[in-house]
Amino acid sequence: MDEIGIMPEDVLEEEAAVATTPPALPPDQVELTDEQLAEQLRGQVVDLSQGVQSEAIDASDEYINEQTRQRGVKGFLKRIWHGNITRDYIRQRETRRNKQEIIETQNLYAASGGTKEEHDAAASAVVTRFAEDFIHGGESNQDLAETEHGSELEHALKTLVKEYASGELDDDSLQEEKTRLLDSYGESISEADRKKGLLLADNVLEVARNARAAFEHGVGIDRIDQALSFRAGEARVGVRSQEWRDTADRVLEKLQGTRVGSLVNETTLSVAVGVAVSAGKFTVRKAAMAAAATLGMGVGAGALAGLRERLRVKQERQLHARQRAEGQEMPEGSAKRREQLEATMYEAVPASSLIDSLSASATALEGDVNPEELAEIVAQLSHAQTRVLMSDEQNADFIRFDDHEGVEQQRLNLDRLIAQVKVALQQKIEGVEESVLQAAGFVSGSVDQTIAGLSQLTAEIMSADVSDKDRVFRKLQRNRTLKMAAVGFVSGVTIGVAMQEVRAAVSSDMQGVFEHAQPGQRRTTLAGLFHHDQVPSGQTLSEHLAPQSINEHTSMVLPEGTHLQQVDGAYHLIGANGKTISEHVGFDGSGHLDSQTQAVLAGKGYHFHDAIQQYQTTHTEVTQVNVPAEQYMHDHPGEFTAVHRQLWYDNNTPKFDRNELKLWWGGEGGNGVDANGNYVFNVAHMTQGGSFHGDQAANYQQLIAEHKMAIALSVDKGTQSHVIMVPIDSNGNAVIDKNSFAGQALFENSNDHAVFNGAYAEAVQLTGTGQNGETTMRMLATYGGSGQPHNYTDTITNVITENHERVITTIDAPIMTDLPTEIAPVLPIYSRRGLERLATRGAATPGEYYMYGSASPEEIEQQLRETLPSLLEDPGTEVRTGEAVAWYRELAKEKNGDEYVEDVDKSITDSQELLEIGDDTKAIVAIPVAGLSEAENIFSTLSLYGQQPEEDVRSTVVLLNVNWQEELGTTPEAQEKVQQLLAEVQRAREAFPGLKIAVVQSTFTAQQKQRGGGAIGLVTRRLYDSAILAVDRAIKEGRMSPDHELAILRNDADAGGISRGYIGRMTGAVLQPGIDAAVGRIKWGIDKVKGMPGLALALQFEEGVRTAGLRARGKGFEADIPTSGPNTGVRVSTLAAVGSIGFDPDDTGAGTDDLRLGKRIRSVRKRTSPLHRERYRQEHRGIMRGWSRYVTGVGETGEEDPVTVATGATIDSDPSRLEGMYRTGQPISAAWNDFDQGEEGSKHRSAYLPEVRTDEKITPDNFEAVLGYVEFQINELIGGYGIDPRFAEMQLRRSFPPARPGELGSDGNEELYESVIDASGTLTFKFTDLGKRVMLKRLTRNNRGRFDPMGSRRVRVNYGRYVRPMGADIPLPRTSRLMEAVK
Amino acid sequence: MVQCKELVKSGKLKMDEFIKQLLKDSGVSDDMDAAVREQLQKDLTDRLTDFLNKRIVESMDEKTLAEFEQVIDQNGDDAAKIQTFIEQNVANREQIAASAILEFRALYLGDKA
Repeated sequence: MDEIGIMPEDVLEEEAAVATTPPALPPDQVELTDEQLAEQLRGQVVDLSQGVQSEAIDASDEYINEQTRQRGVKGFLKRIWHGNITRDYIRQRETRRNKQEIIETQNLYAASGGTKEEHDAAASAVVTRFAEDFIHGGESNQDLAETEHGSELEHALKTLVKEYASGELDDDSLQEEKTRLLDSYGESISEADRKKGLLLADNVLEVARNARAAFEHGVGIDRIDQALSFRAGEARVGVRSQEWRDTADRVLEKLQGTRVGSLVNETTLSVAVGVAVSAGKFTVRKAAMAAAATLGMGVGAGALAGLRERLRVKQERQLHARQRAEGQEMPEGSAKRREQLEATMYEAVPASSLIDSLSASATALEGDVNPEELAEIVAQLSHAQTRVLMSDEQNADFIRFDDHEGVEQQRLNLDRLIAQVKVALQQKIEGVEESVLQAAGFVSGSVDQTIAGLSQLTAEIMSADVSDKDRVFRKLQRNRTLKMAAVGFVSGVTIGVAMQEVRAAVSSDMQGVFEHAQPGQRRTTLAGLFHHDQVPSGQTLSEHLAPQSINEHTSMVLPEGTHLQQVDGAYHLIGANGKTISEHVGFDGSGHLDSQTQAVLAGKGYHFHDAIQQYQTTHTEVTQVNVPAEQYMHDHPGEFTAVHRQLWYDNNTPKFDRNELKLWWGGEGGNGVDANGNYVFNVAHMTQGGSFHGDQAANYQQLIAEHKMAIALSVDKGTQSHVIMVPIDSNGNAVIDKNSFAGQALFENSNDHAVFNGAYAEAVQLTGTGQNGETTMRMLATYGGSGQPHNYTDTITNVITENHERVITTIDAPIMTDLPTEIAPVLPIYSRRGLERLATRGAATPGEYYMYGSASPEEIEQQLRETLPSLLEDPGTEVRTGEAVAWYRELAKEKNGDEYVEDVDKSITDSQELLEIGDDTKAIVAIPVAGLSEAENIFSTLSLYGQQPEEDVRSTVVLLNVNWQEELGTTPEAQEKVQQLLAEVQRAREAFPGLKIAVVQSTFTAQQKQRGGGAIGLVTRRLYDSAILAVDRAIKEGRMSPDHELAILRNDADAGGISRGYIGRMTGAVLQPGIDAAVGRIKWGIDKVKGMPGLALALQFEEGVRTAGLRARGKGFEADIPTSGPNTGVRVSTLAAVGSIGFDPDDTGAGTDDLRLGKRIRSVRKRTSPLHRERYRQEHRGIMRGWSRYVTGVGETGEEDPVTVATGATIDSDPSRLEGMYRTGQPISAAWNDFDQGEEGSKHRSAYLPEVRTDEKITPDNFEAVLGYVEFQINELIGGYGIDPRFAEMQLRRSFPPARPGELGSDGNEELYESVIDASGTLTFKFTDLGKRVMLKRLTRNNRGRFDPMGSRRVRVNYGRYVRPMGADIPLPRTSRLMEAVK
Repeated sequence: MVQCKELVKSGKLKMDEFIKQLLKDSGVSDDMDAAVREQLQKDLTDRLTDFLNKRIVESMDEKTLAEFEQVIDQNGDDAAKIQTFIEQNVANREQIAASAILEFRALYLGDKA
């Protein structure tokens, strides 16, 4: 028995399941007609290439929108980058990548995250449509043999089908060969036209199977061959709004295929390049001209920005139209751009409503219809057909499909129904009277003509709407164009000027407005306007001064007006105005200006050049050398006279006599030495007539007077031909200087008497010059010496000549001028935000409970970095605990810093319970505990674990993170609350001694909370980190093996009841093979809401939806099993490997602690997730793969959900939040909307509870109102959580099964409610009259009809106790389902 | 638009000079192999041409674009006819071209622009 009489599962009906299987093959017939056989063997190949381009572009447009939707600085920069500057480049890049991905994966929806199955379903729908001849405008279909390369393919396909039919080929071979043939065909088409043959769909396998079935039933191969036919078509896939975009792209593609090159001629190009280059060089002299040029360009930039915006608005309209046509809904909340575009959307009707109305028409036509009904059917038919035709013809969407991937199937359904109704209608009107037909509006009994007439009217109405909407659009476009032109102008100029200043600040070649001018620079436009200092122009003055010698190596030629000033030994160069040009003028060793001087002068625009002057210097070098007399004679030949002795005046006698003996010593007393020490010979004693030979005679006195008499000194006998001539004075003395050579070498003073050491001293008559230039002489007297001259100290004098260079440096002064001013570039860089995100039909916004939600590119990027690499590499891998937790430790250090990890480690060290974790630990129950408010609950919550089976208690550690906001915890009252709580924890330890309770404490600041939007994420991260790092420590310290697995069970601190064996069941569910996490059932306050049956009913629905997700997904419905805070378990290895719940400090509010976990796990484990798609994109960026198949892994389906439901693991959680909502008329689905707004960590659960709480009494007078309120609550749950209508239907059936036979007069199986699915796909329900009465009964009475209010019933069933004043005559269950908390 | 008559008159600068300057401004070394540099210049010229053409095409309204497509279909390789169409139908083509060239420069040089 269930709480409100829910039927057991096995009687649940399957109506909610939607059939998705294709129509079955016709039943086997022994004798197929030719026509039937031909129909079954009609092969079809369809080229879907057109869809490849549009899908690729759609996905890239959405990518740009996604990038430019982001807020904050990063978002702003992204909007400039993606939204403006490189928008086109990125759009092209993304389109190229998307196209590549679609082709490689052979999945039309790959770029938008669609699965291969969705592609296959769509492709199948298209092929069927073509096979059934539902060809739309712009499509074609012809015999395959008539296409290029088609006849070869047809022949090959026919052969293939026949071989398969006759059993020569098996299924695998058929598939392989078919793929090979079509790939080849596609390639050959692409070679001729690269826009075709990219993606083909076909029904060859189906045809082959039909052929085999026919063969097996006796149809011959020849007949099969005859019946086989193949056609090839080109399809227009997807929605229709795409014309303009394709035209521009098409034109550009065509241009690229020509040899045209530039669209503008040479003249235009030259002008344009000239303007651009001048702007690019950015140099004009006049600042005002630069500014004017900037402004001029700004106007141009503004105009072009406006043009660009015009195009973009048009593109956005197309994109919006396409997305709306694919079923996306307008988002809730403000979406201004979307709303503006929505106003320009052509009126479109949901395909589903057209299908529904045509289905109803088809059904109606099976029976009798009156003229009004006929007219209605015709109108509906016309309406549907007109919309289809106009969509095709005008490339606009007048039909809105349910979803992107379902377009083709719905299109097929619509086409079939149109045909079906048309045929049925035609059949219906045959034989009907003309008057009746006229009354029904038929034209001459023809359905087609009648429809044509109505269609025209419909088309006119629709065209009027088109005109109206186009007019609205043009106005929007005009406004946006003008606005963007202004923005473009202003921003272009402003940003250009600003960027120029930025560049000047970091560049040495430009003067900014705040800088001084330097030669060689250009200046910014602003600097040009505000600064007037001049700089060297590069040219120099020509006037110079005369060269000025600086030193022997250097001279300078200075500019006129300048001079060198020597100060303390250093030179300064002073200018004409008296200002110092350079405080240092220095020279290097070679006489050139040194580098410092060069730098200073060059920096001020001075030029300098050097000339080299060559010159020589000589000097004498004197040395004293002691040389023999002969050497001296050799070295000094000039001192010696070459002589020739003519004769001796021998007085005609052979002996020396008369004057021959009269060469006496002179000097003091005739000793041959005078008073100065010089040596003296004397001839004064000679007589006249004392010197003759033959008839020759010499008068010595006369000779002396005529200066023809000298003393000839011969050094030695061998050299007597060269003598030293010593003149004789009038006194007859010949004085030989004692220091002369003769004096030194030929004489000596011995005892004051001269001694002659030469060979001969001869008194001679100089008679003339001989033939050879020698001096001829006649000897009057001879004094002989020893002939042994002394050595002489000769003084050798060398004259040395040296070559020198002198550097003459000429300095040229610069001619000063203004800096050239750069024209500020006009860069139309403005931030352009993308369109707001639309809501997928039936989907909640990301983060909501019941759908996956979509991660932003930033979240994906973050998660890629926060996931264990080996898990990213192989999503199916089993993660080792040791590897994961060790890796997580390093990740936590990287993200939060070493200090944080040390702090966590310290808290582990301080906890004996955490230090004792080991291989015998199977579970850690992790509970965040609000330190300032949970003192009253904590003991009772802990008691639930203390009452668990002993073996589970032994292998479990309960880990509490007692936390509070730092600023609020400083008061004594606050501290007392924390102490009270800790005291309660201690009480629990004492009451349940086997229970290991570990306590860590942490605080968070108000700033942290505000930054992240809440505190629960912070608190839970710390909680999980403590658990993970405690496990890591245990492994490293040898207490736990690296392969040990344990579960972390996340619960809340306010539980009122728990399943028996909860820990064991949850742990068992989590640690199953292939499972990463498990979710247990939540019941909301069984005891607390016992007096509120309406609330209990709504809560039961909510509880059921939570855990029925598994069942729903098994039926193919979209449903999630959300990991929620009160009752979720996860493997510690998985928790660590997926980076726990992330590290983003900007995102710590409600949902980040629990829902986030399931999202992260699924994102990593599912190979088709956006995470893996992005990873693939990053790894394979830029690599062309051509036709190669995608690596295994992507596109695989059938992957099990890594999150399961743990049966029998129920927690009875505090319902206060939900009760508060209910009591205040708010939907319970909004219970956590303001969770993060509490003063403490979160809004207190009792915030909305009234002080006095009254029960919800149900009486005959108020039960309708109560049930109406229950309807409201449940409908809000369905809509607010975005629950798949089929899932909602399933759960409604469980909650409110049909009336039983006899129940309140029912004959059985009567529905208690009606449900409607609106155009948005949301289901709403309401009780029928019977339903209300049955519900009233069920709420107040049990199945036996006894008065037994639901609340009491629930308490009794779950807790095995009565709720007074209910009678004890109603038996208690043998075992209660739950254990109750102990106070 | 800037009326730098003196600069226009002083020389009708050709595309390749602009590209050369662009390469220089982007820091391409003078030591680069001549053949490689030549290829680089050609690639850049082609890209600029495509970029310029795109901007010209984007400036056209629907009617003009449709007509232009026909001109291409009929006179695919006749550059003169295509350029004549542009002359006759895109009044501010010089402005568009100059702005496109500047934009291309900014794109190419990035923060060196």
